[in-house]
Amino acid sequence: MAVELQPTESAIDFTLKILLLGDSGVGKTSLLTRFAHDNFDEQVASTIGVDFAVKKLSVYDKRVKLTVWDTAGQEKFRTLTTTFYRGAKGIIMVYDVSRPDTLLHLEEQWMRELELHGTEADAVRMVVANKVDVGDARRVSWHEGSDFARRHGCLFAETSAKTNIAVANAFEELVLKILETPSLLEDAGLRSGTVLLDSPQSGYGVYDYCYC
Amino acid sequence: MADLAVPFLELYADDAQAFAVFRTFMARARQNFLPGMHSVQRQMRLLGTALQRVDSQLHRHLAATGAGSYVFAFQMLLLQLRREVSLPDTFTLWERMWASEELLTAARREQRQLQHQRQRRGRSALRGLRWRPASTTAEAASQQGGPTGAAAAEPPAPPPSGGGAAEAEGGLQQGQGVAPAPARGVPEAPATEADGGAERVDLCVYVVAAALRAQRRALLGCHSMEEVVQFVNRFPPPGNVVALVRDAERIYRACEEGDGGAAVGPLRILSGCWRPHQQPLPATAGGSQAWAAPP
Repeated sequence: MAVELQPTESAIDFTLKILLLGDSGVGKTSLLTRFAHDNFDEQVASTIGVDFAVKKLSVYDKRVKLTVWDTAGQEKFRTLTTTFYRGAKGIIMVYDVSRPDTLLHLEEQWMRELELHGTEADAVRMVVANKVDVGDARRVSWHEGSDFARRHGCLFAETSAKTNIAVANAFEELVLKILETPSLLEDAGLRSGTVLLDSPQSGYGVYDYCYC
Repeated sequence: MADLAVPFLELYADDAQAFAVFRTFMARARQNFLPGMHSVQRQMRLLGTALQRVDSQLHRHLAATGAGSYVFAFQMLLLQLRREVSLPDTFTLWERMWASEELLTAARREQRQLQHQRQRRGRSALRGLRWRPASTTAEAASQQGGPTGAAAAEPPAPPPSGGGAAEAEGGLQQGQGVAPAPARGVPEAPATEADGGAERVDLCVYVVAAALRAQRRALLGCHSMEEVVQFVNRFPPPGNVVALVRDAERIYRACEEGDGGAAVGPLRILSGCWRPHQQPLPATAGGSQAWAAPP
């Protein structure tokens, strides 16, 4: 990962920070693994704190680097994960179609958290209904999901990380929408919400951290 | 928490037994899981201080990439490196870590007690006649005797001036009678508990510091916080966990030295604990009641 960063960095037009939110066990990590590495693991350990992946895309002749932050869904990690909301241009809120309560929590908890801690007022939000492969175990219909998304002004997509249904499409749709929002691209030219050192050699002189 | 339960379920065929041991383990670890995660956040700060002390280049680099809050080490701290280390190695690592933690904690308590005695002696000489009544001192001794009892007996403390009752009871109570918290007029029981909590050595923090230091080259190669998070979430398993604990002890000592010379060598540590015959719990409790009655 460190190798590919340097040479291609100059070719990147935009770097966009994307955030994955949602209850524990809805499949945020699986979505990310499917999207970034085209992989699926039946047994995923619950995320502790945060995880992170990079994916490069070409959209509208633009080279876009997505930095996708996968947050822990468990309530107890909330204080920690909210620190990562800063600078996110796209928010993906995931629910599990076999668990209606996870959709309910998007409204009751996650959108509230986002209002409190999100820094980009225009950030593009998307509701993703995951695990559509479950068949009969499905408890939330397409209509319920899309109505919910429309009501809250979000994009909507139905996916399955397991059987690879529409995962990449969902991310691409989100990126398209972000690219159509000029206010989100103002500071996304080189970096977004994160610190990238231009030249590592000159780094130390700048930061004076000597406490002795 | 499931991660933390795995070693116990693996170790004991009987689930009830595994549960009992896990419960004991969680009694200490539960503070990491309380809402707000203050305990882990404190550990992240401690980790920063420790790394800054023993490897300021690495600390500066991490701070420069934006990872100076050490949030990336959250998983390591919370799960005590369970996910970074293989299961067989976890047994070794945890056992070593806990044993070492006990020894270091005992030594640290002893050290602190000695320091307080010195301070107290200095203060009492200054204060002269304004010494507090003996009964209060005795009460304090009984309170102190509970959780921190093991560390007390070692120093042959000179009798505190005016503390007649303590003199009669022998060295142990003297040592505890000069505990710092009651002397400052703070409510005894909670203060003692808080002292015990604060004194406990969080060796896990230093083990994480040692693990990070073992990978310093890779960490120095990370140019952004994202890369640090990515690297740490796929942390290469430490080859030798015994050496890791040893490194952690070294880092702990280096930090303690900077903290006002509280460092102690390994032999000293061994001399400072595991003396069950000197556990003063029941005797002290009875004694304190007897003392408390006559003013």
